[in-house]
Amino acid sequence: MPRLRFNVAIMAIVLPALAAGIPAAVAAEDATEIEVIVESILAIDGDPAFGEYLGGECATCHRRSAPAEGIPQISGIDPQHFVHAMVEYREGIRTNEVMRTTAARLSDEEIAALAAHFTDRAAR
Amino acid sequence: MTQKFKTSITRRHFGALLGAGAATLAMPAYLRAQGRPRVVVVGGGPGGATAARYIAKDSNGEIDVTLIDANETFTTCFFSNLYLGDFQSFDDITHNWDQLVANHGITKITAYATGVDRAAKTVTLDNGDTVEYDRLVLSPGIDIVYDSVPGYSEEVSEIAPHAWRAGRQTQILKEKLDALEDGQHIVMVAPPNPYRCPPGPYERVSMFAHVLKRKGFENSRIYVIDPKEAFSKQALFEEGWARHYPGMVEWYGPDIHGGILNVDAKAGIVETDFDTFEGALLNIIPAQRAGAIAHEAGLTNEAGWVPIDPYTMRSQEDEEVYVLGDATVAGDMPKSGFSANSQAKVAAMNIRGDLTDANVFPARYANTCWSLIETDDGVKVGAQYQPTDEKIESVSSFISQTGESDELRKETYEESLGWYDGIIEDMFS
Repeated sequence: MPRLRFNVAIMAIVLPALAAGIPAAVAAEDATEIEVIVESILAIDGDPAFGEYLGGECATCHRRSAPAEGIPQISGIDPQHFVHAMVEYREGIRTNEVMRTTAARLSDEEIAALAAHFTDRAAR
Repeated sequence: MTQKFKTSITRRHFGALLGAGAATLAMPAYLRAQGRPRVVVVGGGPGGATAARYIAKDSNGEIDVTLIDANETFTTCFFSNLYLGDFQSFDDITHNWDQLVANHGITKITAYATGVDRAAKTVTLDNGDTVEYDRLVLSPGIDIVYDSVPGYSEEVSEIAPHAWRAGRQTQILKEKLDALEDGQHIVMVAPPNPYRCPPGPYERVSMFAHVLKRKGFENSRIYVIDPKEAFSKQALFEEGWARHYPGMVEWYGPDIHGGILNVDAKAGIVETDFDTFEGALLNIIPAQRAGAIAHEAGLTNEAGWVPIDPYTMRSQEDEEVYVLGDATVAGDMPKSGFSANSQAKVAAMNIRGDLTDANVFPARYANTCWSLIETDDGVKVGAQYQPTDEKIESVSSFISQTGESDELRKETYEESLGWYDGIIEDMFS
């Protein structure tokens, strides 16, 4: 992995982590490990049909048509951003309990399938 | 809640359903004989509306979907407590099925479904019509067992509302709440397990207290007469009541009140073995059972609920009938709108697998219940679930903690607002 890209990638994790109220030291320590997982998931060719089924659970709270109060829109989301967020929830770095519990049962393949589904589709 | 698995669907059949095997066997018969296969959904709430929408949307017109509901509009039971607390208007929580008709070609029939002939595969309506189905979805919600509380009846519920099915009952309760004067009391009789929305009665108590406090009432009390020894999110509610409404809420479990002897709605009293409680507002929430059509269809157990196959949401009595939501025995899942919506997606997928060549993936379920204690003080409980041969089983769960920061509680409340918009779009768009 090119050095420059790696540093940028770490910043991409640390900055949202700071915004989400995560202690910087913890975020920096975990950043390398998280980045390795994120890269390996992004390398998976996710199945959008499986992602569509799994994404039914997300649609209970995340509106397809527009962002809602307190809950972001994920239709059309950038895959890098989506996978980062899901891995941080799964590894217990992000704190929202609904998302932690949801992400905890997702395999790498399932996160890749969800990313393929959501990034694939415009809001409708 | 564990139940014996009893069904005509064999284990081998389940295995086949996970692949395309059963679907391809089932498909040609319908396509040859009848054109589009027909799915009839009875009940347009979070279970029924979601199932109808997902079947129609994801089958791209391959399946004919009819939704039967007795009403023209649907008022959600979830968030109806927030209407009582003036956080939502009645219009905010009232919706209709027009978009399902316009966007997905669903046929809406406004009639009360009175019965099911499972041999003929028809549903009978109160207008005399019958509707044929290849697969039936029943999502009838709950019926109130009025006589589970001595002295209570449907007639009495006009003056001492249960408001446990949203609509006119909710408005009666709101009118009576708003008419209270300082020094007048509220008596709630809470329901026994199992019932719709486990934290609901206690969120409602919080909303009652919110209204009384905002009016500056110092002499009114809210008495909760509970047949249960403990209740959902108890530590969170008790902490919130002590913090926001000190001295206003008095909760009595069965060890203290010793049993409810009689409700006299006209006199405004609830008599228990321990004492007689007097209130200008009585909110009596009796025991519950599956909606009437589940009983008419012969699908209920002795306790009045519908046993289902945890892998698919099929009735254990009839593999061509799926049952969703509060009416079912759903193992560890609570009776909630979120649960019904989650179960509906599993059923919709299996129905598409039955009737078309759609993929069927292994079922997974989820639920979260948010409750509001006071302005910007929201709490939540939730879990992920998986099917086993015995039941739908919790695999991981979470609950808000006592002593959380005001900031986190506000975030939790805002999240609940986002969820409401999300599930409404997921049901009705």
